[in-house]
Amino acid sequence: MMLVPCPNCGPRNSSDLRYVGESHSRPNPNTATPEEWRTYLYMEDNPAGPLKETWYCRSGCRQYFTAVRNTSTNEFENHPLPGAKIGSVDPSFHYVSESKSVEGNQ
Amino acid sequence: MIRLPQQSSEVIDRGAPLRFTWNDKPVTGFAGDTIASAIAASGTRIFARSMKYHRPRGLLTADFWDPNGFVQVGDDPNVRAGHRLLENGMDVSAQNVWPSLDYDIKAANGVVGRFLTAGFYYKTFMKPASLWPTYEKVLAQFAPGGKVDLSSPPRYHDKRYAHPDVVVAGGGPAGMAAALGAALEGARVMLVEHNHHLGGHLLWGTDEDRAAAATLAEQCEAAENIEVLLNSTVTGRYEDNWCAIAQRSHDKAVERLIKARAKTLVVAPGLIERPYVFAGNDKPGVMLAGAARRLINMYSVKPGERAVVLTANAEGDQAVDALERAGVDVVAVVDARTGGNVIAAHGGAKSVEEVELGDGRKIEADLLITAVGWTAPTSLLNLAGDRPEYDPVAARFFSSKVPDNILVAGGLAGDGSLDELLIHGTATGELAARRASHVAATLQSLTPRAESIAAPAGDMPADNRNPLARDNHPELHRSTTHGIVDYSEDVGSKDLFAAAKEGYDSVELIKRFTTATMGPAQGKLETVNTVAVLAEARGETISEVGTTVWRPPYAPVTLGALGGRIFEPVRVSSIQPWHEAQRAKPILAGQWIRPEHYGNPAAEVRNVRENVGLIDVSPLGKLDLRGPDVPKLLEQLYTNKWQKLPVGGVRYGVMCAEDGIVMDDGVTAHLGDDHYLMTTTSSGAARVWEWAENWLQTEHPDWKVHVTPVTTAFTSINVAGPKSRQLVSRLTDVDLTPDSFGYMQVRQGTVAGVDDCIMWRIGFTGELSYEIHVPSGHGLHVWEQLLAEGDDLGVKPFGLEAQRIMRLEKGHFIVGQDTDGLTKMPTVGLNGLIKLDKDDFAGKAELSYALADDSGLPKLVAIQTADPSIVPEEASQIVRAGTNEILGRITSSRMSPTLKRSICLGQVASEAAAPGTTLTVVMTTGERITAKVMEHHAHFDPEGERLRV
Amino acid sequence: MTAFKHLLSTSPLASARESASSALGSLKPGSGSKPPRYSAAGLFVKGAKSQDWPRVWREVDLQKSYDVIIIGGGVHGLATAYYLATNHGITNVAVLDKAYLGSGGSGRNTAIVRSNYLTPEGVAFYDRSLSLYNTMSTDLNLNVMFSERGHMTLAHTDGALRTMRWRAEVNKLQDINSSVIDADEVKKLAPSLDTSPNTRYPILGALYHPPGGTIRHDAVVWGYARGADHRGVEMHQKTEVYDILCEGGSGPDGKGPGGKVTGVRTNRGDISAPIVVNCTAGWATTISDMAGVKLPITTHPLQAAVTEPVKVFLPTVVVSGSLHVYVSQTDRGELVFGASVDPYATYSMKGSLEFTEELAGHVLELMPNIGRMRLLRQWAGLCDMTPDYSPIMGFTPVDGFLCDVGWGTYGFKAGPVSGEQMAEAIATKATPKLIEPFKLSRFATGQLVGEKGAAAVGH
Repeated sequence: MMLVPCPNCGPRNSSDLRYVGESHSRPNPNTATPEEWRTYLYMEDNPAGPLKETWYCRSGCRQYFTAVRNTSTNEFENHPLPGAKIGSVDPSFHYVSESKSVEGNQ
Repeated sequence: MIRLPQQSSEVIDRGAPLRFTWNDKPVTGFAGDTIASAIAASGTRIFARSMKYHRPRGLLTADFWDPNGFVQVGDDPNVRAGHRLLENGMDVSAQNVWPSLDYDIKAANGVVGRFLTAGFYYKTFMKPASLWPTYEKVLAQFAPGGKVDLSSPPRYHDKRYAHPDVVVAGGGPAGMAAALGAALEGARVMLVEHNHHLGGHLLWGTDEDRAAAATLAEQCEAAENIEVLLNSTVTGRYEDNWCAIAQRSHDKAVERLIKARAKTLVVAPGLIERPYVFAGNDKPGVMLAGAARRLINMYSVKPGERAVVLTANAEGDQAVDALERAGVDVVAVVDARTGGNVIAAHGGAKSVEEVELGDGRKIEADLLITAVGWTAPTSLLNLAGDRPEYDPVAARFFSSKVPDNILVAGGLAGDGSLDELLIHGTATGELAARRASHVAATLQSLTPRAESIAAPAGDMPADNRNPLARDNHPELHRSTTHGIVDYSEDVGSKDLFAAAKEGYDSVELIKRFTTATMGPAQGKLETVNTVAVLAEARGETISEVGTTVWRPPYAPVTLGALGGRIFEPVRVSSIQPWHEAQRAKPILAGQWIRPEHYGNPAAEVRNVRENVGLIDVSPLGKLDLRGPDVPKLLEQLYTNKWQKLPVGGVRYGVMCAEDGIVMDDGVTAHLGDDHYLMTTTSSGAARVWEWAENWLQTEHPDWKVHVTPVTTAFTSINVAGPKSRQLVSRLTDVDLTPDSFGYMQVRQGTVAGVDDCIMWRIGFTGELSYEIHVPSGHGLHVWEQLLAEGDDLGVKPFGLEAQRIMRLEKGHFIVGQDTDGLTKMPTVGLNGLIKLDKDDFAGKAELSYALADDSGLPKLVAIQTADPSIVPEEASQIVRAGTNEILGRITSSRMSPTLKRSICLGQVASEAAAPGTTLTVVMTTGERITAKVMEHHAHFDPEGERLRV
Repeated sequence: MTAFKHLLSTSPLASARESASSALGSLKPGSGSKPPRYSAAGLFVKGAKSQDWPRVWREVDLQKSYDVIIIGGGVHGLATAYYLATNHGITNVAVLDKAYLGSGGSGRNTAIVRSNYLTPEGVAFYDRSLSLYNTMSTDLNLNVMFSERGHMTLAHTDGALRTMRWRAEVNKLQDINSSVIDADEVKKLAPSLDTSPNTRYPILGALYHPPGGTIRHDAVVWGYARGADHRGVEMHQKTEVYDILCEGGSGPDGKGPGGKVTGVRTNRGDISAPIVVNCTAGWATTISDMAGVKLPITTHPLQAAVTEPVKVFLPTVVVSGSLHVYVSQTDRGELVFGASVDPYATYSMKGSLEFTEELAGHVLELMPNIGRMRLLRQWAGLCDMTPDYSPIMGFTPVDGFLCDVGWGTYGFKAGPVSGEQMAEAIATKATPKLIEPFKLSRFATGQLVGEKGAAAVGH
């Protein structure tokens, strides 16, 4: 069970939080071309290494925050502090409650 | 084997005899016996038959890892006889035998063994293909293992969380010294020992060894800040030192899973003795030195009469002493350090009879003891990312690199005298305690709101221990003959050579092809020999071949312990006791249990349409929104406009995700200045809350809005039907006249004497209706009052099913039923609610593209079957006539009690969505029927006159 | 924000076609030896004479150039190589794997196959895969032990039951044996399941798919490798690709849209090839980044576990979406479990305790009487998750660089058909109809595949 450093609650079990995903900035919906918008919706950097990502402290302070984690080792490279610029909107939000579905895994 | 006279070292209590059965024969053992020692003491040599060839097998290690020591105890399969303590009345039987242990028909497989090489099944049974299922059934007959009793009741299991400073895995001398060293430094320690006694290998050692073990154990038991867990195993070390401990010694739970967040972990499991590969090495009577010493010294069991001992180390030498003390005639000691070797064990089916030595001698013996070296069980270190490295001088693997919060002690770290091991262990414990303080300080410093502790974290304390030496040990894996490498899987060195030649010549491939190391010990006895034989076959060194990665758990854990007590709470409304008393049929809706109906949903519908009905809609998600910027938030979340909703107004809205897909819907009321109440779908309540916070915190941290979930703070009751105004007016001070309280309006007031109720007029059922949100504690009271006061009006409760029928009559869609994970908002036919002239809202960009051209999107339409008596099942497919090409599907369908005909909603391709289009619907029976697309979503009262009265 | 520009402005198909003649001009017939047949008689003869079997695939020197390089020696890569050789006579092919053959998802999955998908395109695709699996033992002359034991997806809510019916109805229209059964029938097929109505998640029924089952996953890998080898394809293990060599592209080093592939750089030196196929899982984006091609993929571990063996009592594959678990019992008697992918993206395959806890809890809700069974081993593999639970297959904006990635949790069952279709794409320079829905450009146009629809429907 990985410890995730919440800026308010301190290191907590990862099961206390929801992983939101890579932090990408949201384009202006009034001027974005379809390709720009869908890049925001779908494209990922997915590095095997440091990744800037958003977490939501679901069972604690209920704050969204940004952290940098090495996806190869799962070590957090920064320990975000309260008030730091926090995460981004989740472009695939409606999948949240289904994210654990195994309809197709088998 | 027979029981020896009482010995000073024994752990059995001769004053406490225990009676049990072994293969239905009565046997007596003593308290303190393992099942294996008690059976052995009764003279039994054959414990099991091997998996593939069904060769007779005797004890090999006489401990937890014994590959031949698996028995069925009552309804408990795969019990480790060498580890499980004997209990009175146990029903013990051999597994994997048919019809009996002594006479096993499948032993014929042994005769044809040369044709059944490892992986033979990949090369045959292909033809004829039709016969493979038959072959498969035969193969399945050979499945090893015990029987699961599907009538055996679930047992009590439990879990525990612990936050120790130091967890010590292993209660041998090094582990005990580490625990004591850490405790003296002030650390809180959990000392976890796999076996039933502290002491490790000292327990089957010399008198001095046992005296030292007893002293250390007493100190550990006496230390206030050491918790000793016997018969417990650290089964895994997961991220950030999250340690899983399977405690089999709990007084109530059959097995308890302890989850310990160790600040530091000391790994000191000791070493596991390894078998030697030679012809006949699996005959009963061939056993490891540790097994002989355990049987003699701990359980006073004499393992044989005439012994040959192959020894390469002090443990083997001590086995000679133990055997002689037990009265065994040690007829030859073969010293591998000076070139001695064993070539083969010969004999009949039941026992070794003759041992052939490297010098050509053949010696009559019924016992062959080998002491050829160890496996280093580095499993817990593997889990921390360590890749063990082989040291040919010491002839075993050592860890290469472990994280700072793990320390290694005992045999995994090196060799030494007892004193040297204790000094190293103590230093390890002290260092573990200091590092634990450092970890604690670091964690504390990362918790800004926690009171910071005095000691600054500083640097991680350096490792200042004097490392243990490594003794020279001859590399002994295989003799000049072929023998068994994996006893559990019946894989021999010959199989491994053949597999390597065939190209399965990396350690992972050979493991997968031959199944070597895949059995119950997971390689603890077999891995090193497998690697050594592969290295030999490839002409490489063990280092070049490398080893497999050990996977958790270190020792098997019951599913019961992992699952723990099943904790799956359900949510119910405050009216639930009433529903249950009325024998309402319950239905599971997400986390909620609610009434599906009270006996006759059609009658419930008719009563609402004619009189008045009550439904408990408490699961409806509710969010209390306060602050000056609530309208901005509503505009952001919903696709429609909210700035001008007056106080007292209620409005319906749809929420889309950023890809334009429908996520939730519901009504939101403007209760007062800067105060709104939002409702969501029942299953969407938590999701919408997180979604709102997501926008508020990331994109608009400057907006002043408080979002509070109040779903369960209110009991929600919908009063629906033409007589609902009459009923509610009897119980409230709110003016219900249509002019002062119109459709889509909200009021606050008293209902049935309960203050602070919120009431709004909406119409999911299509009837005049009042939805009343009552402070939860009074929900049941208001419900009962409404029923009592409305008796003369014909008031009756109605359930979810009646509501679903009525909403379908009205053509209202349900998110998640009439929409799916790809349904964009234009599909549901509410384009008027998409306000692209707003500056921003979730999903705006994608919806603007969709509205520009929505010809590719399916449409939600009302459908009526040509034959009004036919109700196609939900999910029935709509196809192009005469083909199997899918054009859509029925998403909702019911027989309407009001219209007395079948009514449906469905998603169809836009080409088939025009009103009047004839559709072909495929019934689940395969029959095809025709149906027609209707003009309005609503089958009933499309103008909505009834709900506006 | 310009990741899609290339997809919209260029036609990878057209450019691939232009370069095809040079790419495949040097095709030569297979240089492998005739396969020694596996048979019971062969076993007998070898056993009687104590003879060895020949190598299942050869160990040969790495050459300087190939017609096609396939990155990833799992089921997908090996099947692609096999069908290139058998169906199209393209044999100057190298399959590269950084570890050993089958070391990734092919050896870590739970070996379940089925074709009862939700969308017509999904059903057609996986049905082809299932039929290839059906005849694989004879096609490859190696017993892959396909156990057609049936596959049940349990429904615990009326919403789930509706989704099951949806799948069944779509399946039936495509002649797939698939139907919704009630709780009594569930009990008959798997007596160990608790089908009483009083459980927290009562079993209301199931989607039953008799042709589904399990297969010996490693044997599939070895069978394809052996078959490809016999036709001249080379397998190179412990050969890690460090870079993909490109020229003419808009990005650095000639990579990216508009460019073309010239070869790969490995730990054993540079190899030239006009066609490079990405058949990796877990590292799909790592590899495609090397060619300058961005993908909508995140990498998540999928964990699995196995118990100690007991006598066989569970005859079918059982899946519960609501309880996030699937289970089958091997012929060896072990229960094999899987669940959902881990909740956060990571390349770490260490596995977690909470996975085993949730798994065991849910299994015991389904089968309350097996609490005495013991979990023997857990492991993890990496899955490349796409936004619509569907793969990304075929040509990319870089000429000569093809992808067969993004399989999420479905990779193993799709192995044979993917290999067949990718081989056809390479040989014909055109996207076969069966994989048309899975092209990368669908994300730029928003035409996602509906397979996610099933998962997203409330249940």
